[in-house]
Amino acid sequence: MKRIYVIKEKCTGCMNCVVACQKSHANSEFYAPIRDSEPSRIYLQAVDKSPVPLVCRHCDEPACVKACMTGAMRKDEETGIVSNEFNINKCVGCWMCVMACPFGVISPKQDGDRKIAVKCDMCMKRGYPACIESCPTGAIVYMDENEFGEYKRQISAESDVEQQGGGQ
Amino acid sequence: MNYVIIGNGAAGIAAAEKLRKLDSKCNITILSAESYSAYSKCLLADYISGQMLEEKMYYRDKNFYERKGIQIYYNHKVVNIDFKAKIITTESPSSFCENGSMFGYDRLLIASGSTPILPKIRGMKETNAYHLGTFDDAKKILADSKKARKIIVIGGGYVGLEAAFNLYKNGKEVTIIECFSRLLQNQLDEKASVIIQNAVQEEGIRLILNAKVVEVAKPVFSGIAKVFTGNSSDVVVLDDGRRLKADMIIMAAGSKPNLSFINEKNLTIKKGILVDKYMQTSVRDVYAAGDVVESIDAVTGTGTLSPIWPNAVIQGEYAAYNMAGLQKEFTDLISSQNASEFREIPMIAMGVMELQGHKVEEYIDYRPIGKIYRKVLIKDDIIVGMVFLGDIKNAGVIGALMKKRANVNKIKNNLLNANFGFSEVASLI
Repeated sequence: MKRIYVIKEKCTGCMNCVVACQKSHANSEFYAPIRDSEPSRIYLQAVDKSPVPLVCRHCDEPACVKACMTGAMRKDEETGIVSNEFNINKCVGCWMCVMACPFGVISPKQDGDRKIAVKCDMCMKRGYPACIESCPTGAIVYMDENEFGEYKRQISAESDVEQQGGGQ
Repeated sequence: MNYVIIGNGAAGIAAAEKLRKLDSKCNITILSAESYSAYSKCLLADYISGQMLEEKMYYRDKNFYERKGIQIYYNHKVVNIDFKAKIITTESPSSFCENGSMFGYDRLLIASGSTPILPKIRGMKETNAYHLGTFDDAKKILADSKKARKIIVIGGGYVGLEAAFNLYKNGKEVTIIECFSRLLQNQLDEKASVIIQNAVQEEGIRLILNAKVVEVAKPVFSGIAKVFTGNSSDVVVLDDGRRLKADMIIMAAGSKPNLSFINEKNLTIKKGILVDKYMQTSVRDVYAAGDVVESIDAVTGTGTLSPIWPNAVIQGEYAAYNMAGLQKEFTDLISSQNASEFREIPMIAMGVMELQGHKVEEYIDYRPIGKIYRKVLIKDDIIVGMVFLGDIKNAGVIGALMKKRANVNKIKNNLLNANFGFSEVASLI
């Protein structure tokens, strides 16, 4: 299955992914009206003063799915996507998934008069993850495992060349 | 292989699903004492608000059993298990089964859940006190509460509080009676309790703390009242002499493992059924999971009951792996974990709130205006407890560190920072 992969060395912390995620899920052209109402499902954290994007891994054994007591959060057997959007009406905002997720990538959201949990759904309604499209540096990519392995080799080769170039 | 699972709840369903995944050919039978397909016990309190559709209670679709090839026997309350002969006897006869109400098994999972504790109170037997253990219980409360105006909930734990909020939502006058000095005594520390208590009272629910119910009596002239109104209320008598009128009484004094059908001494039971690292009981080929099990708490290292949904599911899955012959060692879980929301205040609490006789460090983030209170408890550089109120972001990360017993010496000052997150502790989890 295709996953969202992060190459933190390439991240500049521009926040484009966060904005794109919020806008795409709120279905809004503009950012200001949805900035505080639509939580981002991709997070930018700082480790040793460097930005690190963090997003759901759509685990093979998802703790959020095991913890979900309404049957809302499921892992789709075909696509591998872990989401409560398949049966969002079942979500009652009990926060079991927030408690269970060791990555901290599920957030509460006020949705009209009720509260629901939201997390990365790989933009399944949209077709292609908005965060990836918006990333100007290639720090987040949407690939399967083999593709990503190849991509990483390529990156390290490039950086080797750069380093050698700098030494001459 | 013929697997039988006693119990159609979180642990039983999780085990059945996993068994089917591991072995497409085996026979899986679930025996349920109730008559409903897999529903969520955690939603029972929501159901009595009258604002929840019945279909939302079911967390698996209608064709679930058929699709997974699981035989489900409803209304089959187990009354005995003969561990030697490997035969289960159930209360109701079944025409589908050769031996009437007998079921044979190769491997058995006991996942019969828990049942409400009903403390002995004078007069309680004669009154129609309610409790919230099964879907039928909830349906009865919802139906009978239509006629009731004043409802008294005895017990200020999770079930009591959630029941109170939902009955209040349904337009009832609700009073909670709690014998301790504060609500959610087992899950929260004092400050968090007070925040929730204020929320309860601001909502309009009456709260009586430090009070014991000594008797449930009928008011004088209740017979006559019944003739005229078709309805008679009870009087709840407290230890200080107060007499509170109630049209309906709901007992929420905790729960205990449902083990009434175990008649054999071979099965070791302490607080619950004892299991080894492979979820196997002291009897060969008999496994147990969920609320009935006594398991080791990852935080305290002691044997405890852990009647919560996520742990029941995980135990059920581990039991399934081992029943199917794939040895999979169980890693200890945090016994006490609770997530909820009361009056717009989301809350998550895990682990312990005090460790008697031990020196613990407290890290606190308290912002009264936002009703935000977050606290992490650390003993010898290991997180042993947490409560997040108002802001529950990253609660799971703290929980993961707690479960792993990770040494947080270098990061303990950052745990409650606004920009704390998984990335910072990735190497520890």
